[in-house]
Amino acid sequence: MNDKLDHDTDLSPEERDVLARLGVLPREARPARDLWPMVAARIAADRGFAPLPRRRRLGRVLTQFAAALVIFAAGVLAGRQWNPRPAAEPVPALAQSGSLAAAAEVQRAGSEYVAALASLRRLEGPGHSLAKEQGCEAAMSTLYGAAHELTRLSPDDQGARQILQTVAVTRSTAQPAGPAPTVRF
Amino acid sequence: MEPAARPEPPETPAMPEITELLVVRARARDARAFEELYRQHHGRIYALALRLTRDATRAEELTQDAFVRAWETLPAFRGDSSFATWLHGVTVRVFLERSRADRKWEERIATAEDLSGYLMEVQRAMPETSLALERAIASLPDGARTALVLYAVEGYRYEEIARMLGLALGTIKAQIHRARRLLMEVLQK
Repeated sequence: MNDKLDHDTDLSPEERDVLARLGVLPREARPARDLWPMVAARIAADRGFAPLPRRRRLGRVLTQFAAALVIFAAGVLAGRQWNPRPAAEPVPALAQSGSLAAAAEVQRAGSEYVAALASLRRLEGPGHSLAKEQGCEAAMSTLYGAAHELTRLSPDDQGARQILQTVAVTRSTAQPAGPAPTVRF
Repeated sequence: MEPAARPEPPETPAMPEITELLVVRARARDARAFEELYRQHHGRIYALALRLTRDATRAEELTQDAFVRAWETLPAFRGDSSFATWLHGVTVRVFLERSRADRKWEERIATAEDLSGYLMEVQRAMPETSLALERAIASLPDGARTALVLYAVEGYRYEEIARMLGLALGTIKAQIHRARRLLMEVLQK
């Protein structure tokens, strides 16, 4: 009960009753969806990445995206050229059912990922340093995403958890030093 | 009609010292600590936002805006009040800013018919509440409703509400007095 009502001498009994009922209304409500991802994204956008001016930032993002796409496509092509065996060949008989087909798809994507990295490794010369850096960044992001999904798929898989933690630590310590504060998610 | 000292609204279900530690870490820009503060407080902030805005979508927006503003201004939080009280103040101030900037939306929700969607959301989000009282509160004008919710539902004292809203103590007392009168009229209809 709202003890301050005892000191409100001008309250009628009816008002006192209504205010007492207001005092026990629920003070908590559950939103229909989790709002934290939106809050986290806005916090990260505002503080975490020391954003460049909008036009420059957009240009850089598009350049990085195009570079990553080219590197990935080149890696896939090179992998297929240098390794004529189709990546899905080890499991041709498993491609019949849905779940087995999904497993085969994972294996195929994994083979292509490794082949693309091998292709990236073969790049030589100073002109390729930026491409290598961007390729490595994309590869680490992919590895992190894969490990994250794997821990969701198999929470007890120690190997996947270790990869996830290692990549997370590597990525957080690799952030360039700057005036912007670090935001850890 | 000076109110007696009333304990501050409960900080959180968690231990107060844990909240203090989280606040210290969040002030040092630890987003994980801030996420934990969000998890502890978002239910109360959403309930307040829902009663202030009378609209589920706006309440979600206000909740997000309030936490983003809290993150931005947390370094200025000196702990003169509890974190929960401070966060409520942030929420109310963001709401008032939004209301001034968006009068058309406020006008749209003026009629009782427009409250049906709000009451459905109230029933979903707070199934144990009294819909008759919620409807009566929602029918009050902005200023009176805000003051009454903070005073009668959230349990703040006049002085705390005056600080939150940046208004004189006398103004707050008058608003609450008016809100009580209007509320009784609505309930007696």
